[in-house]
Amino acid sequence: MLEIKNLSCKVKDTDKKILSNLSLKINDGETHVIMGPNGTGKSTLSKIIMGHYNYEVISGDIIFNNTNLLELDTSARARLGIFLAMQDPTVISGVSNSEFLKEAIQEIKGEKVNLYSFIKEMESNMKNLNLSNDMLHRSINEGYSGGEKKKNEVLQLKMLKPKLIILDELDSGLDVDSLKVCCSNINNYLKENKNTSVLIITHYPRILEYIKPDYVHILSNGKIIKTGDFSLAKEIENSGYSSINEIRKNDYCE
Amino acid sequence: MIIVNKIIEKNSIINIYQEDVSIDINAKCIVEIYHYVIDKDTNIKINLNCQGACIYYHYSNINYNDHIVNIKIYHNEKNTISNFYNHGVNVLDNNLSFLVDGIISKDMDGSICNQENQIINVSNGRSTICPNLLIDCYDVNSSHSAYIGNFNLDKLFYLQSRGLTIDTSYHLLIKGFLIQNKNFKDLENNNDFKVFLDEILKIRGG
Repeated sequence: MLEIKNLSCKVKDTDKKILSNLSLKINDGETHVIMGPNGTGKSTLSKIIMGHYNYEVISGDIIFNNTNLLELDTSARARLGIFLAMQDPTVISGVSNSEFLKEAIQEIKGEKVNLYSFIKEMESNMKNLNLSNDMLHRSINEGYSGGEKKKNEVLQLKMLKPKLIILDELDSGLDVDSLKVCCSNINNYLKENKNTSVLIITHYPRILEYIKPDYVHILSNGKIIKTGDFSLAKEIENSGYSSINEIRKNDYCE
Repeated sequence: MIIVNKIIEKNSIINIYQEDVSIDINAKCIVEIYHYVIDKDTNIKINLNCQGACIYYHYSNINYNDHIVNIKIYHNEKNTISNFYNHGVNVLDNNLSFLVDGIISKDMDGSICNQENQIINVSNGRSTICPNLLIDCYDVNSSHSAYIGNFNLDKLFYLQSRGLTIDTSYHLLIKGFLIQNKNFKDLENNNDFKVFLDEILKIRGG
């Protein structure tokens, strides 16, 4: 599915290095988690996979289903089936949810969307996410509460049907009930699409109570320093990142 | 020069295409105006002549040559309200100027005067915005803002990250920026509005 090989990158037009020789392999149907303290490059990694304009890859490759993503622009990456649920979704006034999603589905499928089926599917997904039907016609993320923004990301995910889902701090700004609703919708999607892989980026293990990971990676100073299973996330919850020897060594080296 | 010259005395929603505008609101009512202009100078004069008179004015302009948009809003009574949303897209390397004056004279207490102005330069146009508030009264609530530039790259990134091409993303942003009617579906059979929508489709950038 996704293979990141020796990836190093920096902020464009600066010398500020963010990721350093990072490698990660995610197979079909696997759920991986990247955890780490603030400022270690977790969100940057998600943006680089998606081709964000602010970052420059210095070396390495990102291969998605045998295609080198670094040769493609952001929209082409999304059309291959990668979806990034953003930590702080952008507000876009004047462009309605339904209008932009209809256009996006048309561009992904390369054919006209049947309006009736589209509205029915939107309504069903909105109901499952406890979103009101007026979400169809509201501008993207304009005037939404924190919970509505995150649910809207999950709504888009369900409509666009990706093969790889990246959840960048889905749990930030969400109350417990809303987090449950979002995660149960994602789990239902994963049940229906068994080959879909997930990359979760988070500070806290709370979200992992609802979406069970196969692997947990700890990122520090732009590289993965430790990999384990769910128990590693539990260890961090109990003792904090400072309990990880590799972080202490890494910080010491820096 | 064609002028839409109106005296309004009840709640109204008005769509205006291309013309200059002179409107007097002479009753306590809410007036909502959507004004679409392609490539010409525009003069707009609004008189709020009755307590409780309230106007929401949405001005949208697609510009190809050097043009000036002159807007004057006179608060001639106490407790009058004006909210102006002026959006322009300057397509070529020309000068688009928004000169917007909100005028509240002495003793017009309790009035509210807001204006938000934005010009998107698609090429290397030289745009100007003068958002003036000429206020001779203490008990007034007012605000003004001005933005000249291109669309925020985060907006383009967000749309592209959902699979939209750069062209489609840019088109959606321009349409959302210029078509300020929430219920514009009702207008799609209107010939003047169709001309404006078709003009949006011609704009390329990003």
